[in-house]
Amino acid sequence: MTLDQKLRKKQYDQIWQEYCGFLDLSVPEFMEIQNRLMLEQLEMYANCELGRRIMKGKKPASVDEYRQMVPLTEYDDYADILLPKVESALPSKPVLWIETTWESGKKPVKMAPYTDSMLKCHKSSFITCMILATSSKKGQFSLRGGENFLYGMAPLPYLTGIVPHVIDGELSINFLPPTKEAEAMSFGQRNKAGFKMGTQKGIDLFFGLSSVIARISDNFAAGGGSGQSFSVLNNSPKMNYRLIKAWLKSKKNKAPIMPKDIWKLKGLICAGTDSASLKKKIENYWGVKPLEIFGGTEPTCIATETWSKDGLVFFPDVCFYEFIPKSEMEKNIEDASYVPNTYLLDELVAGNQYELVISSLKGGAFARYRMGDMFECLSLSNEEDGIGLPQFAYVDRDPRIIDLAGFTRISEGTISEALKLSKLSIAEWFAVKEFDECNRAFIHLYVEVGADGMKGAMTKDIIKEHLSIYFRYVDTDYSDLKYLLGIDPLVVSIIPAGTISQYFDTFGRSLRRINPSHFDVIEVLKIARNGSGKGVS
Amino acid sequence: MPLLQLFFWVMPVIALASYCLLMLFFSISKKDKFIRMFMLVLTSLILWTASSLFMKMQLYPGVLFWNRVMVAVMLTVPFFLYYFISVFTNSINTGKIIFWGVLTAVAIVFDVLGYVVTDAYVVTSTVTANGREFPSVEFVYSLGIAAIPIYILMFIMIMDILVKARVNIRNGNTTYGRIGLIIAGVWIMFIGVIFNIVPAIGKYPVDILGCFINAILITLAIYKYRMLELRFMVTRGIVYSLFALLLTCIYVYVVFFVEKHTANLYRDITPYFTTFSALLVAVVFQPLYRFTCRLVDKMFYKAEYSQRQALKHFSVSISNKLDLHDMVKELIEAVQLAIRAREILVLIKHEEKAHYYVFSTSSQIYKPDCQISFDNPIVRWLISNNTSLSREELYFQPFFKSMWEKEKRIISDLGIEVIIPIMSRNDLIGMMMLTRKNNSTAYTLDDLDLLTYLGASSAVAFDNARLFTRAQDEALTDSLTKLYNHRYFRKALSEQVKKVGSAELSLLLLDLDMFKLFNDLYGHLEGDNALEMVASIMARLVGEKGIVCRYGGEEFAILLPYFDSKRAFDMAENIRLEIQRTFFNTTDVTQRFLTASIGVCTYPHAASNAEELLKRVDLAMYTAKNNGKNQTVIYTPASPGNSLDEDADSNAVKPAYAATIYALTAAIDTKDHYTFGHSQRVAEYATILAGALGLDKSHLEIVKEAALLHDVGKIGIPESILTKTGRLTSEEYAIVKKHVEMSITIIKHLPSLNYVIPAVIGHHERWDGRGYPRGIKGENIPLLARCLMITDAFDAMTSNRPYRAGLSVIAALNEIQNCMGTQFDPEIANLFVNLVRDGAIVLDCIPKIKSVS
Repeated sequence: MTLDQKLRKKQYDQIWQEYCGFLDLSVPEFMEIQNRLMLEQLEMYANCELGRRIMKGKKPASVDEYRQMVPLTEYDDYADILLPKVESALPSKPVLWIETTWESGKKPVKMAPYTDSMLKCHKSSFITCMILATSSKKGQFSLRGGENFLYGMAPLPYLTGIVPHVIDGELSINFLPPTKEAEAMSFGQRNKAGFKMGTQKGIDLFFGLSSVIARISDNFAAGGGSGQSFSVLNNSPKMNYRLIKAWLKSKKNKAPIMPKDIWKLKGLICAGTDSASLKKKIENYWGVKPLEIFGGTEPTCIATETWSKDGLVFFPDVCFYEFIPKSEMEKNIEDASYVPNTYLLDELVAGNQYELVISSLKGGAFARYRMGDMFECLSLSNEEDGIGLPQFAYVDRDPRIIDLAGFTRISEGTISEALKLSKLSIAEWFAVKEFDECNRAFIHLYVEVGADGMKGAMTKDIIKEHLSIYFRYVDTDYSDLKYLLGIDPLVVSIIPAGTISQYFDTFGRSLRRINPSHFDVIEVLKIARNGSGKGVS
Repeated sequence: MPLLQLFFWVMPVIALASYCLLMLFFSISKKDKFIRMFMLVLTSLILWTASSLFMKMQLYPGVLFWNRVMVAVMLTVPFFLYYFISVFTNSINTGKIIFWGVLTAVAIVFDVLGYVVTDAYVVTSTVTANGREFPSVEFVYSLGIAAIPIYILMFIMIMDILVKARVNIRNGNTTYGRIGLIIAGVWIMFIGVIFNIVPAIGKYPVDILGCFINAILITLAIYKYRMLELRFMVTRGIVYSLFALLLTCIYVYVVFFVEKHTANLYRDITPYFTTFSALLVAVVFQPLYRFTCRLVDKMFYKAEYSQRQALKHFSVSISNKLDLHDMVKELIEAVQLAIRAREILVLIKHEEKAHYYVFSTSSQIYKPDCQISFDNPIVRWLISNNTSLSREELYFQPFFKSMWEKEKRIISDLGIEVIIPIMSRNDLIGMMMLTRKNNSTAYTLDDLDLLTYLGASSAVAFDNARLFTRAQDEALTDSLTKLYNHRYFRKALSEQVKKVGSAELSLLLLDLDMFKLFNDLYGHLEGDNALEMVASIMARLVGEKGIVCRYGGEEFAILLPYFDSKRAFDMAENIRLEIQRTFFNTTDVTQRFLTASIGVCTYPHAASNAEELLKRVDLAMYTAKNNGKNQTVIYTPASPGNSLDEDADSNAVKPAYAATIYALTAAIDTKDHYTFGHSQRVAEYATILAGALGLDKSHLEIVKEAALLHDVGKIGIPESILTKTGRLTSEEYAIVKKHVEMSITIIKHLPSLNYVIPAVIGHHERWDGRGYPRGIKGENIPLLARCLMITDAFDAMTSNRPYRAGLSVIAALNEIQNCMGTQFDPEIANLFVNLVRDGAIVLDCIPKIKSVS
């Protein structure tokens, strides 16, 4: 029976149990599912070329043995098999290949194989997210099928493009704009067309990157709602009534029209690195608490918030999870040869931050794969909601990456490449991810001008202009930031020449180029101020 | 009365009576929303038929009135049917229901206002049939302007019902079996109504005929396809009593009717005639009553009736069975009778393989090869909940998220809907899996309760049967090798001889060579392991082609029906070579060594009956033994050795390889003269020591040969190391230590000398387990090796070497005493010390190499 049929038969308890029942699991039960499915994966993994290579020809008999025998991996370990799509080397035959950018376009697109079981699991996970997005209490939700879903996400071959295809036939949803039309549109066109249709037909559900939702909402409020072309003739009577009501309210209160004045959303789903800082703002605009979810090309959708929308919970059957404590991860950053310890979900400590390591289940390709994402374990359970599983908050990418609004990931390599291409005389540099007053992330690049540069025109504006051009060149997603989100993602500061080497002399260690610790930045700036008397410009 | 007139009157009466009876059943049934909705439809049908009848009877207030009532009620039927189908298929469209409701109401208003039928009356005349006169009634009416549009409206509404039903069948909300008859009934009713438009036909109650057929179809839908689950609220006894009362009334009426009509005609015999007719009616009515009761049972307690029958049958039959196959068959039959599932599978626990396997199915030909492992979440769930598990639960219970894809596939491929545990004493001894029901309806709670009950009630009996089967198997199975035992072999031999008739039956008799020695050398535990290994080799190679039995001790018999001598010989050679390969041809020097001799005899060519076959295969096997072992011999009447005296075959070691031993020791001599002399002295000392230990002649020969060959591996050690005068480096010492393995490698190429290997391989072991190459300790070191350990060390200590002078005998004996319990077996070392002190062993004697023969 499909979800539509169950909804029609009002089998709400059964639906809740089927999709959200995992929230009643205890940690041991959760781990039991993890271990058992991992054993299934090991059986498949041991019988394929990729598995034999990653596991160095060994055949672990238990999950513990697997964790001891198999090293932590990165995409490079899989590239020669996954990029040319060598299906015969995989644990299970894929039915779909999903792609994403790799090192901001510096390397070819990353490919990840999806098996039929993975797609089924992803469908189930996303429906769970939709149910939870429309719920405010355990067991109660307002998803009924036939909703208008403003789907502001990328189409296939990206991960977010799977959803409209897999839930088709299971749940009737009107995607705005319709999937086929959306696939032929650019990101901006899709959002515009979706909003236009939403104005005509109404919007029940909305899924988008937090940064995009916040930007669209800002524009909407700033334009008094007039950013949209409201055509009374094309709108449904209900929508016209709402528009008139919103307009009257706006006039009466002398306040701009907010999205919540026009649309009464059943649920709003958001994702992306800056979700934590933007969720409150989005709630103010839309009048509904957004449900944050977490996923990625390699693992699929792996975590969701629940009805109280205040902490992520991992799905038990999507991937096998391991966690590297932040201290271990930092040791590994300092010394690449150091092998960090990993811990399982039942071994975590509340309040600590961890880097996530995933192993694919259900015939996926990745084993002990470092996602490069940091999570904070908020609590080991949520007593208020009666959830016995650990609650997490997404923190950021790992410190070696600067993720901007979920759009692009800037690494040391990206910046070095841009600097090299720009031919600017930059002697030393380091970059830090910072947030503006509107909670929008940007790169703060601190540079020491080289000897040649000191002779010529090298103001920070010149450096910024040059670098912006080359960032757009090396990173295909970089230009979207300004175009779509109105963000100027680069701020340049010049520090006196020799500051960074003085830091080394003073502290006896090198300064990390990407996201050095907050205290290291303070120390560098102190040196910059005291050393030259010029400080930072 | 003419047929037409009969039809005119009887049809509405029968239709009305049928509807009323149905309504009566519904009213005394437990009601749910479906039954309530259907009662609305039924009410309309009753009113339609009743008003038609009243119209024909020209009851007050008149024909036109009843005609309009009939039309009004007729209009409500499609609407209520539409409503019923919506509720029944759970596809209520409120807007559409209101739409049709309003249109129906408008049509009724038009009817009441006289726009549908403008006039209606009855023309009565007299007709003559079979010479008698009957009043003839003919119905005449004229249609108004609204008649055609209203008929069109009804047509559209009925079409909508059909479309709705079709859509719901396609969407899987219901099945054709459940509402197909209702749809057919709607069509027939509609055709009847269409005929009403044509006054020439409409003057007859064709619409009522349609209604009557519809009533039959509804009854059939309830009876056969369980469209609605009817259950009386009153007890079965009351229903039976009502029928008994009704039949009694009819009975009394019949008797009095007969008496009344015969009294005038046959006054004298009336009492007899009445009594006779009463008896006759009673005889007829008794089965009629029973039939009615059964009909009520089947119609209204159908599920319960079948279940009662199933339970009754099962509880009687299972108590008479002790065979698990029979019991499972009974259970499947009982479930089939009660539930009527398309397929029923019974899975039974397999302790050794840690899974549940398909033991039996309801199908004669379908037995899927699938297993449910012990750690499958389904098994754990059934054990902890001990109740039925439906397929839906597998999807919505998070507990089952840990199921593997292949485990899920088993359930979906088999189309399993329900799984029932068979638990006995907290042990899940099996499970029952059911696919969809024949009528495609869902399993009700009552079904599941019954299945759980059947599972639970059969569990103890199954468990007992399982234990009985196991006991039976054990009585015919050898507990060590799990092969059939001697008892079974004798039975199977005579059965197979009878079965093959004039075709071939080959018998293989396999005996492990020098197995007693193997046991003595390695211990009985190793001996048992070897037997198990040999058994598994035979079972694997023979498979389903023959019967493998443990004949006794280290002898095995293999029956190969329809195998001629050639094929039997090939099979025997395969087995022999596989045993040799497994035990012998290995690079692991610590591996045991074992070979087999096999005799082959084929019936009817070489034996005329079972006894002869057995006797002759025995002779062939002994021939193989006497010819040097590790070979296969086919019995022929002229086989050499067939007349061999069995006593000739002894456990004594043959001297055939004495020359080889001399050749090898001579080879050592050329390389290292010390080792040559050393080996001879050790052989002398060890033979005396073994003799003092009370070992028999064969063991004395073995220890002597082992001592002569124990350092043969030194041939492979560089001379520079063997003759080095200084202290050996650790690397050099490691090379020297390898001489043990090299000795084994050399001896392995002489299969018939393999009996010396246990002693040779163990001569550098230590009592405390710190020796090499195996690091075994205590009595795990073969006895003869323990003898060699002491004598080898003693000679090494007392011999003069280029780099040191030999110790004195006293010093050497003191050293041996010091090492008792650490390096040497304290008991044997003590004996050796005493032998030297007593002069039984004399140092510097020139040993004579005795013939080993």
